[in-house]
Amino acid sequence: MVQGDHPPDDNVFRSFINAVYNTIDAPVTWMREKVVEPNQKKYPWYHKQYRRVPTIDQCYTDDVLCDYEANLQFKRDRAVDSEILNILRMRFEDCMMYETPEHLTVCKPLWERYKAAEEAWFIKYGDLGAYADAKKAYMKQKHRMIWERRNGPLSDQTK
Amino acid sequence: MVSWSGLGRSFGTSLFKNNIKTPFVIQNVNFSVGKTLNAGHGHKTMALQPSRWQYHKFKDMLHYYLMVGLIPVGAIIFYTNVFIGPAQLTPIPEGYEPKHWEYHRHPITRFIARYIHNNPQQEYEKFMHYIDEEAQKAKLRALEKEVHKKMAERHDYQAYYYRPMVNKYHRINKQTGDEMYERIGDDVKD
Repeated sequence: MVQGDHPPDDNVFRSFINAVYNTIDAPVTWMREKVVEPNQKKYPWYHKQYRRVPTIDQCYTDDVLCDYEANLQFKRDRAVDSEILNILRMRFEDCMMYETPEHLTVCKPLWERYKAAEEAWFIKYGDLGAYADAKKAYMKQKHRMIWERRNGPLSDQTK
Repeated sequence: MVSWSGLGRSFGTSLFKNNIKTPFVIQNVNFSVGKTLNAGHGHKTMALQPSRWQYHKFKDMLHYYLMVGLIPVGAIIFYTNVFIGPAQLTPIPEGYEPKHWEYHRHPITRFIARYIHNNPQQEYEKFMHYIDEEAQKAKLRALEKEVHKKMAERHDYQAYYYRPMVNKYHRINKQTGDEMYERIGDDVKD
């Protein structure tokens, strides 16, 4: 929305299109603003905050409870990280859609940031399969570190 | 709800209706045209067609039973959305522990979470207790199995794999043997 004064819009085509749109929109908006909103009660809902529990590397091997809790925490963390990756990707895509055809230069920082995040996500959660576990991710990290010890670093993020 | 299917009925029948006023012959069948008594105004011809009564009755029953469910449910949903409305997302105030239904947005979801479902934390802790108990049982069984294996290996413990000696049958055998010897002697021919 452009701030400040601008001359009144007397574009006939735009007013016609707005009128067509408002045949559906105006009664719905009226109903919402005059009937629904005043009658609705205001009361809160919250997002659940989970406490941090010991991760899988801090559990004994035969401790099923610790394993179960670490597993659930792993799944929650993976969901959160996937959403973060999603947001970064959407930022880049919005920039691209807005800035086309100069998107390759203008949106480059967003692209770099997204690519770095994607690589980090893949290092931690990628290729674990459908039955991914906290233990499997931990073992993946162990194998990666052993491979890196023998063959040198894999990427900038794992140095 | 006869009215719902009745709306389409008069339109549908007029599509089938044959509006010829005099008797006519189709494929060697002599059709006569039914004449209705016009008390005031009415249709002048009766449609001669196979009965569509079962179809109309089916539609009536379908609409009736659908409405029996849809109208109360629709009324409840309308009431909750207009007069109660969904909740606003707020940060958790300091030192306050929200109840487990306050983590949902829509009033019907909150109702279900509050009065029908169990507290998720309770379910979590119940499950944790269950797997802990099963894990303890598994450990006991594994230990027992290990002990039996060792006993089988070493044969050194008076428990499993121990064959107790009972001399009662040895005595009976010996007694029988002695008796036979006394009777027969040691002259035994094969």
